[in-house]
Amino acid sequence: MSAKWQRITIRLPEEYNPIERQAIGLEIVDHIRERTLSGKDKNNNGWSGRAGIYSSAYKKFKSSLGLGTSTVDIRLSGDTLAAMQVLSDAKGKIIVGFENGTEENAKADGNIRGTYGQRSPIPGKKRDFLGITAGALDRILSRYPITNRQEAKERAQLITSLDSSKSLDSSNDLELDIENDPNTKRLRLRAR
Amino acid sequence: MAIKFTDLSKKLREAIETSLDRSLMESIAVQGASLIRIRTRLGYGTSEERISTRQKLKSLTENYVSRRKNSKHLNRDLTGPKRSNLTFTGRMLDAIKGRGTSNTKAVIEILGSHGNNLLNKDLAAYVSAAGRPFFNLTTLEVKQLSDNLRGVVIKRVNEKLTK
Repeated sequence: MSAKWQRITIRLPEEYNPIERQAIGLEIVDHIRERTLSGKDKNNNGWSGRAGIYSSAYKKFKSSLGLGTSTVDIRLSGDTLAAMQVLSDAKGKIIVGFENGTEENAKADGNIRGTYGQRSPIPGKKRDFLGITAGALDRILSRYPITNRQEAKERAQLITSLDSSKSLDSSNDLELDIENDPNTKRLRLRAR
Repeated sequence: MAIKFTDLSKKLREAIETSLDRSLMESIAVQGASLIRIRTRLGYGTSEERISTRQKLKSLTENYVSRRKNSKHLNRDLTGPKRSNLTFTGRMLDAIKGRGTSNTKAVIEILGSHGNNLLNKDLAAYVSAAGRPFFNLTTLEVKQLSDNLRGVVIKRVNEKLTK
C-alpha cells in the first residue's frame, strides 16, 4: 500500500513577500523538528498511550545504536525529520512537509497515520507530529512584524542567508562543505 | 527580534564569521561521526566518493555467515550472523571520531588499531573497496549537520546584532 503524501498548508497574512514566507517556513520546520525531538505531538502534547512508549525490543535495538530511549522522538537515523521542508509558498500560505514518493515521506506517513508499513493504522500507535499550534505560529510571526517592514525584511534576510538547502539568491552566507580525502582517509568539514 | 544596522550584508557576514568557533565545529563533526556509525549499524552505506543517498550494504557471503554463526567474538548486541552492517566486534565503527581543527574546519576520521598491525582506517578502506562503501555523508546527513550549524549560528548572530 502506497504512503499518503504528508504535507500541511499553513495560512499566513497576505502582506508577507516570498523571502519572508520562506524564512517563516524555515522557522516552522525548525520548530516542528525541535518539538518532535523533545517528544511532543503537533498539539504540543506528549505522546499518550501506546504511542508514548517504545516496545522493549525496539528500546533494546535503539540503545544498541547509542541512542536514548526515554523520549519517543521519531528519530533513528534522523533522515525523516531532516527531510521535512518548505515545499512551496504562495500569497498568504506556505506548504510544509515531505517530497511525495520518497522513503522519508513513507516513514513520516507511517508515524502520522500509525500504519508503520501495515495496510491500516495500528490502534493507539499514531504519532502525528506534522503541525504547529496557533500559539507557536504567532510567536514565529511576531519576529516578522507586519507593522515594521524593515525588521521583518532583515530577519527574513538573516534566516534565508543561512539556509543551506534552499536560497532565493543562491548566495548563502553559511555552507558546510564536505570533502572526502582519499589520502588521509578523512572527511573534512568546512563552514564558509 | 529587532536587528538594527545599516550595512546589512557586511554586518551579517561579520556576525556569522565570529559566531563560528572550534568547539561548535567539533560538535558538528562528532554528530557527523555518530550519523555514519548509526547509518552503518542500520545496514546502510553510501555511494562511493561523493555525497549521495544511503544504499543498503551488500549481503554477506554464505561462508562468512557460517563463520559468524560459530564465532564467540561476534558482538550479538550490535549485529547478527546474517546482518550486513560492517560490525563484528563493533570496534571499527566505534573508532569513528570527529574533532574541530579550527574555527571553521573539522574532520571526521577513523582512529586506532584493529589489532594485528591493522589500522581501523585501513580496514574501513578495505571493506569500502570490497563493495561496501560507508565512510561518507549522505545528502540528508549533511542537511542534518547544516541545520544544526544554522540553528546555533542564528542564535549567536541574534545575540550579537541585538546587543
